Amino acid sequence: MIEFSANYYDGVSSRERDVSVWLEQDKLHLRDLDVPKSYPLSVVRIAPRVGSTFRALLLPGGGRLVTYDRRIVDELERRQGVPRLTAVLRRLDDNAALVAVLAVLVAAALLGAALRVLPALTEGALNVVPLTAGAVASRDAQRPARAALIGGHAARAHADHAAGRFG
Amino acid sequence: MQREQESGPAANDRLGPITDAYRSVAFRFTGRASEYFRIWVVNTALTLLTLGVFSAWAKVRTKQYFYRNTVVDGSAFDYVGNPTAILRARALTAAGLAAMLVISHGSVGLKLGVLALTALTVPWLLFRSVGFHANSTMYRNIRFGFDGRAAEVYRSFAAAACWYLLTCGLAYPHAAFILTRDVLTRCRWGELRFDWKNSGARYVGAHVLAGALALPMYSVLSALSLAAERLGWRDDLRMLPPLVLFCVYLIVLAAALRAGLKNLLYNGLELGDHVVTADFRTWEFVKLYLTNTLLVVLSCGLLIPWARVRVAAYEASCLTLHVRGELVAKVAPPNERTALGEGFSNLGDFDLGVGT
Repeated sequence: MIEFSANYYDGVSSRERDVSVWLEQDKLHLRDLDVPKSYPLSVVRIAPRVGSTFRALLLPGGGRLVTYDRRIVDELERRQGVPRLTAVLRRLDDNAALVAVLAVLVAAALLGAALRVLPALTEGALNVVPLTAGAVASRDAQRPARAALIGGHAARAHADHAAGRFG
Repeated sequence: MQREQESGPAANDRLGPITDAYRSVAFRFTGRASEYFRIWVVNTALTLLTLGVFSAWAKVRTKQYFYRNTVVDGSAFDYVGNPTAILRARALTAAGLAAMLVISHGSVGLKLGVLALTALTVPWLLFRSVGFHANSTMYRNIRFGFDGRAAEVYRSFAAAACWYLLTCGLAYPHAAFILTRDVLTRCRWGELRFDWKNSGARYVGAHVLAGALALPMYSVLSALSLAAERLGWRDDLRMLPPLVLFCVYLIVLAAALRAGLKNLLYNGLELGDHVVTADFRTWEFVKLYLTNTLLVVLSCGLLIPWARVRVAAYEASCLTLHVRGELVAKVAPPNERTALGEGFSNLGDFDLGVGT
C-alpha cells in the first residue's frame, strides 16, 4: 500500500491542512480531515516534475495536495501512465551523460551565435541603416568603432559600400 | 513541510512603521545551480532542436523551477501557465508582426493604418501579458489575478503615452510609474487586493540618479579614447578600453536602476492588511552582475543557470512580508473576476513585462 503525508488545500481557501494520504484499490484516501475524502486515481492530475521541487496532485473541484515525497508521486504517476513528453523530459533530466553532451552542444551553439550570427546581424543592420551626409563625412572617424565591433574586414566592406553609394 | 525562521523584533525596529501587530517572514530561494543547470541545458537544447517550438514548454519549466523554489511563510509559489496557450499566442504574435511588416511596405495610407493598429493593440497585449502572468501564478492553491478592464487599460496607456510623447521621452519615468501603479492596484491574490503606495517623484528620482551616473562616465570614455589616440594605438585597439569600460558602466547603471526601482516597487506594496518591504542594495547588484557577466562570457554561456540562481537567491533574500493576523485568502467570487481577467488564463502569454 502506498502512503504519504501532504498538505491539503480545499480549493476555496489558502488554509492548509496536514493530511495522510494512502492509495488503495486505485483510490486515493485522505485522512485527518473533518470529512475524509476519496478520489479515484484516474481523476487526479499530477503536475509534472521539475527538478526536486514539490509535487502537486490536482484534485477534482479545485483541491490540491502538495508533497515533497517525490518517489511516491513518481510511482502514482507510473500507475496512471506517464505522458510521452513528460517521460522524454524526465529521461533527459535524469541522464547525467546526456546532459553533458547537450551542454557541449548548447555551448557550441552559443559560441557560434556570438562569433558568427551577432557580427552578421550587426553588419546587416549597419548596411540597412540609411547613411546621412554627416555620417558619410565622418565615416573615417567611425571606422575604428566598427572595426572593434564587427572586425576590420566587415568595417572596410561597409565603408566601401557607403563610398560606392555616395562617393 | 519546510518552515522558515521568522525574523524577530530587530526587523521591526529597522522598519519603523511595522509594529508588533505584524509577524515578519522572509522570502527564501531554495533552488540550486547544479539542479537548474540540467533543466536549462535540456530546455535550451530542445528549443534549438525544435526551432523554437519547445520554448513555450521551456518557459513553463523554468518558471515552475523558480516559483516552486521561492518560499515565504513555509509555502512555495507555483506557476500553472499552459505551454500550448503560450505557443499559440506566440505564433499569433509572430504572424501579426509578419503581416504588419509586409503591409508597412505599401502606400502611406496602409502605413498609417498599421500605425493605428499598433497603437490599438500594444496596450491590449501589454495588459494581457500582465493578466496571464498573474493568473498563472499561484500561492497556497490560490491564484493571483488581474482585474483591469479594457477602458481602464486604454486610459492608463493613453496617460502614460501622453507624458512620454509630449516631453519627447523625458517623462519616461513618470509614464513607467503610471503603468506600474495601474497594474499593481488592479492585481489580487484570491479576494485580497494589492495596493501600492508610492509617488511619481520617487520614480523620477531613481531614474535621475541613474542618469547622473552617466555624465562622469562620458568624460572618462572620451579621455580614454583621446589618450589611446595620442599613444598611437591601432584603430581597433584604441576602441577596446572604452568599449570594455562602457560595458562595465552599463552594468553599474543597470544595477543602480534595478536596485532603486525594486525598492520602490516592493516597499510600497500592500496585500490586504499585509505589507511587503524590500532592501535591495546597489553594490550587491553591481557585484552580482559583474561576476555573472564575466563568468558567463568565460564559460561560453554555460554558467547562465548559475547566474540566474544567484540573482534569484539574492532578490528573495531582500524581501520580507509582514503578516498582520493570518496569511489567508479565499478564491475571489465569480462576480469579482472580470471577463477580461478570467480570459487571460486560456488566451495565452504575451510576456512584455510592465514595471516588475
